[in-house]
Amino acid sequence: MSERVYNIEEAPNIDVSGDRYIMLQIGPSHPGSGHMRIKVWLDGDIVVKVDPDIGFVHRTSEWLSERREFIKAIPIVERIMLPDTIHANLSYITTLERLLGLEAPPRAQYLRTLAAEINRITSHLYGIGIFGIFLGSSTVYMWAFGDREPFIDLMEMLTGARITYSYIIPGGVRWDMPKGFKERAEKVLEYMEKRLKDYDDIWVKNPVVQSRCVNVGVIDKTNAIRLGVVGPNLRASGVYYDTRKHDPYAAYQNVDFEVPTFKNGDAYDRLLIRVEEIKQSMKIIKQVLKDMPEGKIIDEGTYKQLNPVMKKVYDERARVMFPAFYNHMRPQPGEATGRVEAGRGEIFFYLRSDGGKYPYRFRWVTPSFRNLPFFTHVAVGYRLADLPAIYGSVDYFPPEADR
Amino acid sequence: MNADELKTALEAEGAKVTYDQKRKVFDVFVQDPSRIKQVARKMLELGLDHVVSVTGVDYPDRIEVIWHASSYSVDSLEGLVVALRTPISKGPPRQAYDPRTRTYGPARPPLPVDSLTDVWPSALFLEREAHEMFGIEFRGHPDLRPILLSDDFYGKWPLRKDFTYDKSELKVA
Repeated sequence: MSERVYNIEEAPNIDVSGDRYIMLQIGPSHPGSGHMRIKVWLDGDIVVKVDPDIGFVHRTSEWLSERREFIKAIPIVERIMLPDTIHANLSYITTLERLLGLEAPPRAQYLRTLAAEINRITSHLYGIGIFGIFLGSSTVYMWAFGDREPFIDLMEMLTGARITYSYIIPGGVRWDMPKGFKERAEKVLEYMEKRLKDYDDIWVKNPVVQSRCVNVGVIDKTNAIRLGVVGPNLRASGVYYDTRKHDPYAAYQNVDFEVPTFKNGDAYDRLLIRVEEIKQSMKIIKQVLKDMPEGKIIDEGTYKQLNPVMKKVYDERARVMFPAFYNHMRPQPGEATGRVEAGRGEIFFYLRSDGGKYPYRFRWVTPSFRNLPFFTHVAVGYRLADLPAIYGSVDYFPPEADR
Repeated sequence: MNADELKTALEAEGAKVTYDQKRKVFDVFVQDPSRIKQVARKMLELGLDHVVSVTGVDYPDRIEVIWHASSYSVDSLEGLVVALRTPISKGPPRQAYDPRTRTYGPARPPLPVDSLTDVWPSALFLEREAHEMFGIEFRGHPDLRPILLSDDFYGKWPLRKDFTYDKSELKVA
């Protein structure tokens, strides 16, 4: 445990030229997860300034999406945030539906919520695993990545793919819930509840973890708001904000869940909040499975467009085949915005259409990118040896930030 | 403070405000770019405490800069994303590719507009991104180095509509 020496308010203004400070480069090849370089200026072994140098995996997703039909942007946005693809998909489709004036039927909304929450659990387990490897615990890394598998299998059963689902389409979802899914999901949840106790024993309540994380990388409430921190990192600093509650989408207004918050805003709270959110996600999945309404999984307008063969497939296998007009969607001129709470925080979408085949402006901001100002401030004043704990606790995913 | 009160308060600042609840667009249009900081300060005062996105939109006659702001601290504003929008005039268009000089005509300098980083520090990296993608010079921004693109892409402003590339540029040495 260490005391903070430099004040984060004055951190960006410190002049680091001269002999007193050493500049250290961490990365760009894989300091944890994905490619980014962190330039760190040190006074002795105290971090004075952090300059994240990102963009090594920039994939021009906005440029590519502005030169394609609306529907073809789905795989592009998904490949940006691989641990959390359903949220990229969901946020884009939520915004596109607002632009098109479509609304998905209740069953599709519930299926979206179900898929999103399963994906949130895999995303958090991914974060916990990477945090484990940062602190040198390969056990937790193996455990977390192993425990993602039952959930990924569930998603495979639901959507037919392990990671890149392309499950959510304008007006609904592509597959209905298969037979036997509910029973299997209940088994998986039961297994995970048991495993969370094991995580508590070996990882969360481990004194070694506590001594490395408690009071390290503190961001207080005021600074968290000022720097625009998102997601679990924001709630760990004591801000009660969750897009699922404050700007509801899918079926979140119908389910009952809590938004866990913590007070200290240190690395340990950021670890705890991910565990708490896994518990809340399991609570939501149980409710969704119980309350799942009957009905169509695609809206009426789209259903009418299906040709007889597609209708047969839909009736027999509850699978939506893409009608041809999906490729020629021309939304009315105008703009729409949408926000979705992904595993790492809030995804923001801004779409503008000029009435043509392609989006006129396709803008999206991912949670990791919005956590960058936070990242420049959070490590200041701590020792270099604390940096892995801080970096790991932020759950930063470079390909997601670079887009 | 609800959406209607926010609308009245911002209209008093001389902005044109429209609210489309269905498409979730709360639009604050400021015609004069020099007044942008004043309106932003007012928005901060009203409780819109962080920026979600900063971007440009390239139209044939102008480039619009948009700051999307939202609130963590005021409960009734949390469902809103407020777009602060201002037009700036466009410079000369990009010329055709010249294989001899390997350029697209003379360099086009970035277009100036006030930076809002002193109002919203959360816009630091977002404005850097808008700078390299659209060629908008945020006056008063502490650090406008390219962030996502490599240095040799600087000045091409790739998200403007006139951006093209020549096949010879794709050749990797």
